[in-house]
Amino acid sequence: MASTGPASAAPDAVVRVDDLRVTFPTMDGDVHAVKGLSFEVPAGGALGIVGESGSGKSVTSLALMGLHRGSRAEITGSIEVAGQDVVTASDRKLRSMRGNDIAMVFQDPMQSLHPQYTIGNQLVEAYLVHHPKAGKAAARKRAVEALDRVGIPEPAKRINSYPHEFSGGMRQRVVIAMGLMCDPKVLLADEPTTALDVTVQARILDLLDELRRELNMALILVSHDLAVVAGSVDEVVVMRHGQAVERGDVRTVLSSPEHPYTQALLAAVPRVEMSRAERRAQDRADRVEREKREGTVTKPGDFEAFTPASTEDEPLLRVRDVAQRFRVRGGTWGRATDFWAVKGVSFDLFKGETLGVVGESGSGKSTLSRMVMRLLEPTEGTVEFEGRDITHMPERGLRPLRRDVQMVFQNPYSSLNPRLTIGESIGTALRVQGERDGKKIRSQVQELLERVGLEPNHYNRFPHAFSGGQRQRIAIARALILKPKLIICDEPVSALDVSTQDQVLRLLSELQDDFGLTYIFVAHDLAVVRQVSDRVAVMRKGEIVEMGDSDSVYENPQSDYTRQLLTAAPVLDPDEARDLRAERVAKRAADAA
Amino acid sequence: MLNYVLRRLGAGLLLLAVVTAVTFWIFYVLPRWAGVTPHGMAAMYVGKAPTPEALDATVERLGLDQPVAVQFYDFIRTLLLGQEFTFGRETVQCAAPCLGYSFTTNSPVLPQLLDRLPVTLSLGLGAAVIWVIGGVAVGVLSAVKKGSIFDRLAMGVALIGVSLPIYFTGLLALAFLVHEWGLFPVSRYVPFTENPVAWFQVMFLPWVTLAFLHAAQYARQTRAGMLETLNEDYIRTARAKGLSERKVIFKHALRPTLTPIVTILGLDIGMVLGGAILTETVFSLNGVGAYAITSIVSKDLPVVLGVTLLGAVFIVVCNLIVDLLYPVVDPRVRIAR
Repeated sequence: MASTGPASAAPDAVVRVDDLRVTFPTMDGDVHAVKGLSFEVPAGGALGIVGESGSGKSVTSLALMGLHRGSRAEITGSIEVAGQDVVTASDRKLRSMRGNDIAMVFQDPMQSLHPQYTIGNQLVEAYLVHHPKAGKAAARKRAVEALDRVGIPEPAKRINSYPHEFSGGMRQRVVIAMGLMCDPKVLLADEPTTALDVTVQARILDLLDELRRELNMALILVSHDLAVVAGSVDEVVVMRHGQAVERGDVRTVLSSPEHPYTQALLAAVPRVEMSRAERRAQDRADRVEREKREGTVTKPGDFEAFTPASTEDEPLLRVRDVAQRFRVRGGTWGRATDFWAVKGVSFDLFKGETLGVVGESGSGKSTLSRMVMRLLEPTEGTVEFEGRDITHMPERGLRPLRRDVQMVFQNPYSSLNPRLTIGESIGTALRVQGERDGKKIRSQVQELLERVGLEPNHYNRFPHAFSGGQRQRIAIARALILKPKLIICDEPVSALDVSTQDQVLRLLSELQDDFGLTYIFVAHDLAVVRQVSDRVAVMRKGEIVEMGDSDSVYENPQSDYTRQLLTAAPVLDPDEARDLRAERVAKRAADAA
Repeated sequence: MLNYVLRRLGAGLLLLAVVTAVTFWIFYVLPRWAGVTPHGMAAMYVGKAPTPEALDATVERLGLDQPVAVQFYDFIRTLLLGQEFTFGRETVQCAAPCLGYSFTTNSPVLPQLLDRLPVTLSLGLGAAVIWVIGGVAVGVLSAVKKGSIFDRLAMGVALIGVSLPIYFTGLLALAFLVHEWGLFPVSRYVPFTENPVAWFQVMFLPWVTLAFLHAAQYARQTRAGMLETLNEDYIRTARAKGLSERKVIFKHALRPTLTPIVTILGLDIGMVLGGAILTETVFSLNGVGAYAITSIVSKDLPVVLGVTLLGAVFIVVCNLIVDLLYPVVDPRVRIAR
């Protein structure tokens, strides 16, 4: 077990960082990315570094590898890895340490392997650079072993494959195998699972944990998500604005955080055990309290605008057996093969309710939402909106639908036109729908900006002036401007930091109270979906495997796949996380036997 | 993989057919639409001051008064099977890939073109070697030493290179390097097979002049591509392995950078082989381009038509080669198993 108290300089520390400062000189003055960070990791220990974007966690991990060389970064303090100072080491010495003493696993496995070389070539190279005398055959043998070690099936065959022939999770395994080639003393993983599905994430984290124990390697796990590190590390450092606000044993920090920031961060993490009703009650109470404090308008009675969903009314949206086929080119003579992205999906959606759609990548959840929006024409089945069949309606007839159904997209950075002021971005929809009066448009937009928590004078600013969370508020305002009946949110918070994510979820819930909105909420994060959804549909490979009211799906899942998803979801309690891991490992062993 | 090759080959052939049809349309149909009579067209084919009888004979011989469909059939037939041209008692055989018959020089076009092809090939391929090596090397160095004096100087020169036309740089080079300082011989083209050294001496200036223009463009492209590639995550991975900077750049960064360059290289070589008109004219090289210019000036329409077709063939073939090379360069293209 690792050292608990901070400053106790463990004699066996394999990484020792002392008063690290990283400064980037820019035109607007120096940016202090890391300001006096200290920690150490004992051999075979595991440290989590947690922080939101801009906290300096990635800058720190690059500094550990000496990867700031060649940039303008100014580094002071000391970073000792396996007894050698990285900050002052010569380039040659540093190169001999990289991969050999300390190896790194990066965030995006899709981008971190060279697309034009086989993985074998890349693995062999990683070995030969530190063991030039070993010879190709030996290096290759080692590469096969490493691939086998990280669970790539048929490693001797797959070694000749190119990265694009692997899925995301498999690629991340290859990157980890590359890290293992030279038996490093430290493995540094910077957001290793952020781009991956929940079940894949669980597997990768399990693998890292297993490797660390069996190879007695120190692990530094960097993440924005406390729940990701909870089950895998002994000690945790919480970073904010380049400083460690809290550092200590993972159980202590997560159960009784001392610093207000850690407390706020923990409070913002969506918990899969919290139900929709609890969350809504809490949000409403918080709102009443806030408005009392600020002396603003909404009376508690206004919440009555929300009418609970009733199955007796005509549903707002009725989807029957929809299916979507895509043609995939590339067979013999370019013959197309059929790929069914969605098949046989049916559901009703009633006014005022939220339907959560959960699924991993490739489950067809985005395709489904596109069909409901009629951005895609369903190949089979019917979609009825307010009793009208819109399945094959021509674009002209869809005009009113475009007003009634709006969408909020995942990436707030690319879904706003960078050349339009946000006022124009939001107001365009009104103009398209026939409003001519510029003043009226402006006042409506400004009113709405205030409602979503921005300033009316933001009207003339461009998107780049806003943070991710603010942009998502803008996107929500743009969806709201036409007073839609249904809003489809496609992963609306997955690109945001935990605390921002919490604020946006609150906003969506308040808007639902105020305007009686109906949502389809598409996401991969189980906890988020539970807290916002009345009903949940779990999708896999284009089909709904389970659907029901959210509490019963989460508390008493009927399908195997749902259960699998739930045990894979990261949890905040370090002991529970370890128990879940043991459960997964046991299940996998049983499956393999 | 075989599928890919066959598909590309098929596409190449189809493209050739389309290009041929378009060429036919430009030379035969378009003038008709513009109101040129069969006799008027015959005048364009025959050359200077023809007699009315000669015109009649030409109209007859080329079938210019026939409907378009018949003309097109004849055009394709001539191209694929060859044609016999009779002048009174004399009969001239224009063999299989018959690109036409020049009435000005009284000879089939293709042999004339083939005569001049070695000059153009020497010029184009030689220049390509220089501009690829020079351009890519300068581009890589500039990217790696971004912001240095070398980078600024090289990019400045490249900008000049892109901006200056060949008849400026070429004439300048001729005036000073050949005539003023006598560094290079004043000479006609010498075939490589006859005297390689003389060949090299004669070709050197044209190569450099033509290469300068393209090298500048390649240097800028390489630099931009290299800078982009150096920002990729997999370059960071390569560095994190402990690879030397040289290996990072030449193994990991250069290959993705060259991928788009191979594409433009195919187009550029095709264009140059179709006739580097300016370079050949400036340096008095009797290549395909120079031949084309002479024929345009002397209104020798069959030759113009032939050069057009030959140029199209070169571009299609070069692109085909690039397409076939693509899966070798970038494994992600090998989708079809």
